[in-house]
This record gives sequence, C-alpha cells and structure tokens, in this order.
Amino acid sequence: MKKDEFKKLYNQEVLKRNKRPYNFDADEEADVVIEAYNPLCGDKFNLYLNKEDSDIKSAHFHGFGCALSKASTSLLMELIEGRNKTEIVALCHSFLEAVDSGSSKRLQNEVQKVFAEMKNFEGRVDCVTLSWKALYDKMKNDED
Amino acid sequence: MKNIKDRFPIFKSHPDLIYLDNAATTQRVDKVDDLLDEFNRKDNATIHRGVYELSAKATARYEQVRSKVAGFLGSDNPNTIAFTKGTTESINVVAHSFIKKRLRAGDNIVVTVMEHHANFVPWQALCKEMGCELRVASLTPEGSIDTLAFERLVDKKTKMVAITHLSNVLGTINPIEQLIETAHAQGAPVLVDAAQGAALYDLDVTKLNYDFLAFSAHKLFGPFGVGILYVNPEYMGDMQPYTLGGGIIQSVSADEVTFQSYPFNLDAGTPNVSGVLGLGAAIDFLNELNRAECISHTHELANRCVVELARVKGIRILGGTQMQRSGIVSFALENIHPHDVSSYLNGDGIAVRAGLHCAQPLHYFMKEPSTIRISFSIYNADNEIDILIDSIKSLKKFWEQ
Repeated sequence: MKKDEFKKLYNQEVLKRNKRPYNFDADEEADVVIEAYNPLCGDKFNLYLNKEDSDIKSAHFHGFGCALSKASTSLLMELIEGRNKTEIVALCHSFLEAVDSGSSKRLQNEVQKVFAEMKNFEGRVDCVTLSWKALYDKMKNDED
Repeated sequence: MKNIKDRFPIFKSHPDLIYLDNAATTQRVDKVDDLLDEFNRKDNATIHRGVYELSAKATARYEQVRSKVAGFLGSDNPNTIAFTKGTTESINVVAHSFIKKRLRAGDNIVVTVMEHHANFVPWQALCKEMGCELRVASLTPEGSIDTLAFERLVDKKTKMVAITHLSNVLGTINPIEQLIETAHAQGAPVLVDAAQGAALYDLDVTKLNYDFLAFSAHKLFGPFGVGILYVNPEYMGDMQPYTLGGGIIQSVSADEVTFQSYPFNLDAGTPNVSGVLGLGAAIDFLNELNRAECISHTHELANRCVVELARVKGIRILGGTQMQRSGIVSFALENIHPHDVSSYLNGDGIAVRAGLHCAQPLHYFMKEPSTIRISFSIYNADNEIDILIDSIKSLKKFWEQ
C-alpha cells in the first residue's frame, strides 16, 4: 500500500470514528455481550447489546483494536440500534458480502460503502469485518 | 558490513525495501538460492533409499550437513543433530519424545514469561496432561530474567528448564550460561530456544553446556521448513520417534516394530532434502562472516534506534536501558494501533511486524495489548533508522490533523 493509498484508506470517516467512536464504553449490565476477537493481531472488542422487545435498544462497545476495526465497529453500533435480529442479520450479511465481492453498489448507507471498499487493501479486510462477523455469527446461530 | 546487502537477491528485486522484520524471518543469501536451484535442476533425489548415484550423492551431502551443523555448535558428534520442520517442531519433539515419559504428577517444568508460544505452549499442555506444574519465571522491570526468582523456581522436582536465548520481542539476551548452571545444580536438563540468536551469537555447546538446542534455518539466511535439534549425547538414547512411518525403522513384522536410534528415528517420511542442503549453504555463509562484527553492527543499530525512538513524543519502548539488548526493539505509540503504524510505514517501503509476535504471556506481563517490532540484521544500515523515524513522525502529523 502506497502512502496515498494509505491516506485514502484512512479517510475522514475512519479517522473521525477512530477518535470519537460511538458508544465506546463497557456496559456491564447489557443483556448480551459478544466478543469480537482476532487472535492473530490481538484486536478484541466486546459488543454490549440491550434489547427492548425484539429490537436492539442500545449498542455499546469497548476494547482494543486498530483504527479500521474501531471505526468499523463504531459504525456497526450506530446502525443496529432500533433494528431487530432479522434486520441485523441481513445488514451484516449484505456488508460482509459487499466486502467479499468488492461491490458496494447494493449498500444503502454511504459510510458503509466507504468501509466495504476496503476489500482492495490486502491484509486489512479482517480489521473491517471483525465485529460484523462476530455479530453475524452470533445472531445467525441464535436464529438457526 | 559494506556490500553485504549485495549478497541478498531480494534487495535487487526491491531496491528500496527497508526490511526490519528479521526476527520473523531473515532474507535468503545468494549462496542458498544458488544451491537450491542447482539441486532442484541437476541433483534432485531423496536420501537413504536408492542405491543409484543421484540418491547416494544426495545422502552423502545430507549427512555432511549434519556434521556441519554439529561443528557449527562446537560438537564433534554429527549424530547429536536431528533435522525437523522448524524450531517449533524441535521443541515439541523434546516435549513428547523425551520428557513426557519422565514426568510424574507433582513434577514441574520451568519456563520464562518472555518465551515465544513455541517454547511455552508445548510445556503448558504437557504439564496439564501429566498433572505437573508449569512454573513461569518473571522479569525485572527492565525486561531481564529475574535470576534470583528463577533460582527459587528450580528444585529437585524440576524435570525440564526451557528458556529462550534471546527474547523475540524485548530483544533481551539472557544469561543462559548462568541459568543452565542453576538448572543443572538441581539435576534438570535444559532446552534453549535459539531461534533468534543462532545466526550471529556463539552457541558453542562446550562453553554453554545446554542439553537441547532448537533453531530454524530460515532465521540463518537459509530456507523455510528446516529446523535443527541438538541433543546432548547423554540423552540421545532416550529420544523416541516423534512421527511414525517409513525411514525410521529397524524392522517391522505383523506384531512388532523396532526403530533406529536417534537422530535417524526422527526422519520419518521423506525428509526436506533440499532444505537441509540449503541449511548447509547458510552455515557456510555464516562461517564466512565476522560474527563479532555482525553482532556489534546490529547492536549499534538497535541502540541508536532506541535513542531516536525515545525522542518521539508518545512512544513507549519495551525494556529498559540496563538490559542486554540484541538487534530487536519493540515499542508502542500512544493512540495509534501497531497495525495502523505498520500499514503507514509500509507506504514508505518499511517492513515491520505489528501485533503480539507469538508472545502473549509477555505482552500481558508488560501490560501492552500489542506492539510494533523492529528487528535488525546484517544488511540493515544506519540511514534506515532516519527513514523510519521520519515516517513515524509524519504518521503522527497525519493522525493528529
């Protein structure tokens, strides 16, 4: 990755969310706690979810990770509040698929599109998908 | 160290590469590439099987490498040396083919908190399986082994002491001579993980008196996939086969099997013949070097790197100034994750390692979730430190914008 590519990858959306992540605190009273962990690099976030009926009422996260994983988890927390399990599974699935295929056309959210384009940066895709994968796996398993 | 870089073909393909990840793997020297190429094109055959010329020649060359490695370690007995897949396998062989049958519930094995997972997890798993205690020696705040605490851990129930010669994260050079004496005073054999130090440091067995030594060819400017295990002649008779199959057999019937003795009982399956010959070429290269000069070169680079890094605001360097440091420096940068640092440095052609470096116990001990590691070798130069420091400063500027 050349320096200009780095600056493209670490764009304003990433840097902003890395510096001021959404709901970045440990909500020890949460209904559900999901661990997103990459043993290769040591990045680890706990996702703290509170439910109201079938919807996620609040989503917090805390832990240690690079700017990409932190910013991407921050966006995930923003997007899942107010959604139910089926919607969240679909949201994560479409994002992971977009990152995997490199095509973000079908994504609704503009910031999500920015993250999905990180497919082009080898070695850093796992950072972007870390929490999305953990949340998707947990909710999909609960659904099955 | 003038012109040494010319001996490494990778830098012809990547003239601007600043390769500072030598603790992960060193680059391959021309001599090794030439030998592998020639063997593959002209001499390819496996060993100890055929009676035709190619195979006989390969066998003789393979066995010559055994002698060469023994000589490299100061041993006149080539049969002290076994070839494995790498340092990790060498250590696992000792855990399973030597020490396991000696362990009884209540015994203990002593390691240090600075071990690479390869010299930690096999002992931890073995202790759990056998009802033994894993004793983990602590460090001083400087990053050196606390030798007094280490002495207290080793007792008559200690059946193995497994220590690294050189920390792959802190860069600490351990006083292994002293630690080996401590272990031997209690009758415990010692395994030294020499993966990081074997290329440049003198690990002569007649001076250091270790019982087992494990290291890898790919950190000696040699090929991937070849490990070395040295076993003290006193213990050679106790070494059991590790992987079962062909190539290690004395005789087999429908009911019985008897094996060859060490080191030939560790050569099950078709060995990595070309890799072992490549190791031989790597050792020839090491023997050409003035190793004392190489050591002072890498130490000077690391020491200057520590000084320059310490001037950058927000950098925490692992290990103090009093510990004996080799060519390795690890650090953390406030508010910027090591992977982000590594990606940015890559943009300036600098290759460093970021993460936990297969040393999680050490990172927990140092209370660092992850670090950036710089590791120097013989082909690195002083100006590369300037480029590194400039790149870090420019990252900080970009990050704080």
